[in-house]
Amino acid sequence: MIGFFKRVFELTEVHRRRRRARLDTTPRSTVELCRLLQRRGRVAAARDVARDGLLRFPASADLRDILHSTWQRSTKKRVNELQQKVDADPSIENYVALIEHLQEFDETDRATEVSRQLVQKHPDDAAAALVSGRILIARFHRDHVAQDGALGLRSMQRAAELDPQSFEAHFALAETNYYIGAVSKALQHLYQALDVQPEHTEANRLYRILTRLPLEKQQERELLREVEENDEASFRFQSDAASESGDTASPTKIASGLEQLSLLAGVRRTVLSHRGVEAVAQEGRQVPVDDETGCLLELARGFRRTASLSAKRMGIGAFEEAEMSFDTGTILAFGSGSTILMIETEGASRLATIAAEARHYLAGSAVREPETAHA
Amino acid sequence: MLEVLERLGDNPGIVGSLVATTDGIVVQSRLRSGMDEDAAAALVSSLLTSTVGLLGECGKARMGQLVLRASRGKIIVTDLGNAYLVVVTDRNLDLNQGLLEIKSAAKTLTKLGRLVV
Repeated sequence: MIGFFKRVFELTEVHRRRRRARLDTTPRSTVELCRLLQRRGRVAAARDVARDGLLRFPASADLRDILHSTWQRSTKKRVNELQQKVDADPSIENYVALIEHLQEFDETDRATEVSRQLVQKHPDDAAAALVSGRILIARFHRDHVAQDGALGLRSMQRAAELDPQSFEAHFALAETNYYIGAVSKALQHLYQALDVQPEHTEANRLYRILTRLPLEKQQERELLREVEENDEASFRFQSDAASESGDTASPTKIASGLEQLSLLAGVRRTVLSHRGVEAVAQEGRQVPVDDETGCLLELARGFRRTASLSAKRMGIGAFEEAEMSFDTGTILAFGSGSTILMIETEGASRLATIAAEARHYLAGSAVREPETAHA
Repeated sequence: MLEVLERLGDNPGIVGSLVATTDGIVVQSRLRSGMDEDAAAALVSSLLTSTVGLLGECGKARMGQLVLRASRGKIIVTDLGNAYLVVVTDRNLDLNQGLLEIKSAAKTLTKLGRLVV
């Protein structure tokens, strides 16, 4: 009987948290729900909640970590099975099954490694080049590492050469070239894509955008480096559905969240630089930018740039967060694309709580990067 | 010094390590094959000089430690007094265990540094 009531209580609690997670504009409630499920031993359920949560909050490092750890625990057997199939029969189908499974759980780095093996095994197969290109381009979109972009484009180009009728290869080349600002190359591939599928809605929409843009003056390599350094695309293509959602961040929402963060115990000041919005908050209020606060803004901007480039060029991907310790306190820094949030704290206690709140704020809808195409 | 860095490199998850002076000049390095030593040195030098310079302008005292987390790994910078120990790790490093090893290596290097740097 006690077991029955316990079970009912658990189910009610999970249901209540699920509802709260749906309403929360930050990943906080989703992260809490995942942790509750993990504590109850429901690893696969926690994994699925984290995976769905990442669709809403793609910048949430907490959800990514939960997905990674739960995936490792819950699907080890499945991965081993898929790997054994590849070992026994290294056919493209078996590789693709393993890669798709890895991608489903956001294991892009491991999927990239497997796709590299796939291309080595099947160097003259268009499907292999397409799969590899798709993953490298996905990783380029995530981390903005120029090398991933270059390899992704090369792989897609190879797929298009091996199968000139591949709409997917030409369209991916058009989209990625547009993303880095290579308008003429994007148009060249879009014409080829439209030759194969003249009625394709997204391709026709991209065509309308591309024909209004000036042609690029730089080489692909320079354009990729520019995206790497600025940590954002030159242009961003979005589906009709995304453009109609109107889901963009407002400076008021951004400032309000920053002020709330500055009220946390142990926080001295919070600083944010995000797409033209720059603000410093202290004791729950925004403060004017003077010599002292301006210096912090300068530190935030400079550190984001150096940390981001160092991480990318040392092969460890996109900068996410940093902790700098001093005798007098700690500075926490959180990066997401071209955005940086810096928090000056007093002492080293409560850092974990402050960091968790900062991550929720940065990945939440208040700061979520607008996905509008900006020419 | 190389021996300490080599021992550090034996830990799973640690990709490479180096010792650089406060102005970013690399004294000794031990990087996993495939990592470009010169490029890594230049990047570390830029990271250190830029960060330390910006912090100095803001009146911040000397940085004791910097832990930088990225999507595929981490960079951990530890103050050695007259130099910095820089460790590059992959995503799977257990940070608690890793930091203990790094702290221990830093202690040894600090003692050595008094004689060498």
